[in-house]
Amino acid sequence: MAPAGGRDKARRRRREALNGYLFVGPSIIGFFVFILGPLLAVIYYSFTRYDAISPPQFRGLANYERLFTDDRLRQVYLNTIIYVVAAVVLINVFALILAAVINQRLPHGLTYIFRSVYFFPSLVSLVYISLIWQALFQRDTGLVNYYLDAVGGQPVNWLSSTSMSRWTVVIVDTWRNVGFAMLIYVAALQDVPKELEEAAQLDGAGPVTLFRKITVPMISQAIFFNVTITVIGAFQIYESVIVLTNGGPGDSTRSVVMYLAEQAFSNFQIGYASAIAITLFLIILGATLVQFRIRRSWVHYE
Amino acid sequence: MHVKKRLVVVGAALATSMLLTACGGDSGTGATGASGTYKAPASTTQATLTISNWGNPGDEKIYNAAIARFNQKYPNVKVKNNFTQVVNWGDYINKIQASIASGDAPDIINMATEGVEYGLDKKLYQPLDNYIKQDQSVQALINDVSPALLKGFSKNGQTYLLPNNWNTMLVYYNPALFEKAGIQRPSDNWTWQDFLTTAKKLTTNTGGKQVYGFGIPTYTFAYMPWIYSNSASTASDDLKTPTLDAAGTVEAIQFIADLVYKEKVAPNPTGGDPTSLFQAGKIAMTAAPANLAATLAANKSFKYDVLPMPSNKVNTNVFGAAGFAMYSQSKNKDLSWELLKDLASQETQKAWAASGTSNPTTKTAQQSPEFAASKPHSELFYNQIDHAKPVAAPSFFGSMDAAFQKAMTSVYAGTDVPSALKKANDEVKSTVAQND
Repeated sequence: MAPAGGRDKARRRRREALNGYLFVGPSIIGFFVFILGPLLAVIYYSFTRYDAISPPQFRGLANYERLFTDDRLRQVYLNTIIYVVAAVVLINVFALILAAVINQRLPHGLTYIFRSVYFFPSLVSLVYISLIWQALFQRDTGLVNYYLDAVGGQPVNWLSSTSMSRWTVVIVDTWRNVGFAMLIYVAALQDVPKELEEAAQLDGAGPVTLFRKITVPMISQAIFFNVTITVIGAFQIYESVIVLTNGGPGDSTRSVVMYLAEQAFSNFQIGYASAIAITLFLIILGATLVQFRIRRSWVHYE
Repeated sequence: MHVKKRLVVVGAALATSMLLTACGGDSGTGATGASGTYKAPASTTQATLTISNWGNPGDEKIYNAAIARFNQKYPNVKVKNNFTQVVNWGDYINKIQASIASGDAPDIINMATEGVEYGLDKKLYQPLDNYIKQDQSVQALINDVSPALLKGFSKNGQTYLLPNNWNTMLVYYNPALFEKAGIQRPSDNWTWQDFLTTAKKLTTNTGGKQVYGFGIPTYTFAYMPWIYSNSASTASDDLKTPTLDAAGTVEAIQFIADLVYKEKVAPNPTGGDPTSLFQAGKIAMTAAPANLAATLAANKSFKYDVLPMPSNKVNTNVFGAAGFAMYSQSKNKDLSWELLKDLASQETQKAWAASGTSNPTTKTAQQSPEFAASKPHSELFYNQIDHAKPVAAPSFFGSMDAAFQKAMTSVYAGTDVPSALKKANDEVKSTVAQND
């Protein structure tokens, strides 16, 4: 009896293992085909010259050398870093303010409405949002300038001035992403124990001290999550810029991803585009690792 | 994040396509006409043909009619018409390149002047001479086409494309606004100076209603007449180097920029599409190919007329011609040839004459009453070919187009013309250098 039972057990374990592999199979295959495979292909292409029709030719480090002499690459990285810094600061500050407002003891219905209104932009396709903002920001026919004019202001060249258009992209990016970050903060704020706040108030803490000493440490995990997500997202900014300004005027709003797509798909220099993609990959990886490292010093876990 | 996904998908598609092409080997329906004596495939042949096609909205029905004619002869052949609108040529070329790389290559390619050289460079086209030699109807069709249009379709004595349609630039004007300003129709050989004087007279601001003399169209093709009539170009004659920063090119673009900044007879084109401003009566003149005439034909209450582009150092114009090529690696060459003939037939030409989104290439169609019916001074639409030059289209046209367009957005944001064009030219040069 005993050996038979052992065989049964072994068979059942094997079947369980098989079932498990079947369940994770699709995502493992997906990972190999859509993530790891292309990543390895990009690493390989970055050492070649490749135009998508003729076979790739090995070129050693030529593409990487070119990175250092490319003035346009410097410009698009500068733009992208401005987007990243602006996104991290503006999205998180506004999201936190909105979340704090919503977390007051408002009537339940009102909280619901506010939350939906601010979260709504995150649900609509980015391309539609950008198209709408593009219409609003038109110099001569746009609504924004119409109201500026109505209150006595000068029309602003939102989309086609070298100094302004970058900030227009930042405005749209912030408007679009603030709702998602806000939702995370609202959830975190609701978890801050009321007793702690009340105890601090009894000890004589004002609103600022309360916020700094109680609220921020209590929601530090949410802050960490939001900052990490906004940094990664802002490094990859693409669709909104394409629709709003198409990178112009000149290169003044072009992002790194736009530039590498241009190299790959309008100049057909897929090797060089791959090398740029590798730099972006390493930078995002580095930024995320740094965030995880410094997390220990300020993110609190219960 | 979405982009990353898209790149990833393309990467995966490329990888799988390589596997697929490696184990391919479908024999197809033969290519007797490519080199030997042509024998038309049997009418019972079963196959699928793919067309890489482009055009204006509404052009699709013309192509569908041609495909229907083909299907009467070959009912068992499925024709996939991959039709797109072209915003810039780099994207269209990219689409063909991606479809070839993914193993879904077209059998027939509709290509315009802008991409012909590129396709020759990549050996995409099948030489058609041996087919044409054995077909009198095609010879008759070709003899009906102006030699200038055909020139761009052959290289080193080999013909690669059959003519489809073509376009040039004309000045469109609003006669009511001319009358209001007390101006007669300028003569057909008017100069830049005449143009500027006219534009100044047409620029008015009465009762807060601003009307401008001219609206600047911003696609590359629209700048070419100004550059050509100033004895300059965007690329050297041998199409090896970009000349965006040559003195004559800079001077022509400076003339355009001055219309906005110095003379103030044109609104900054970042403000809106000139064709809608034109129809709204906010600009008295603009420039466009035949497709504006097709748009305006639908707007019966709006009256307009056309003029040739003004000349400066030389009297010339630009043209771009589209033709059908056979993909050099097609598995169904003989069958593609039969479809090619229906696509480039005199019937298609007549359809172009009637619809007017582009000009027909045969003289028969150009001089037909259908062509004249839809537009004023219809002869101006086709007689430009007598003195027009093909749009300069080096094999690096995609990069040049992008750099030039980018430079123009800088110009309209206030950057000075010489430095914007110099920067663009340097960019194209470095891209070209990387391709060698």
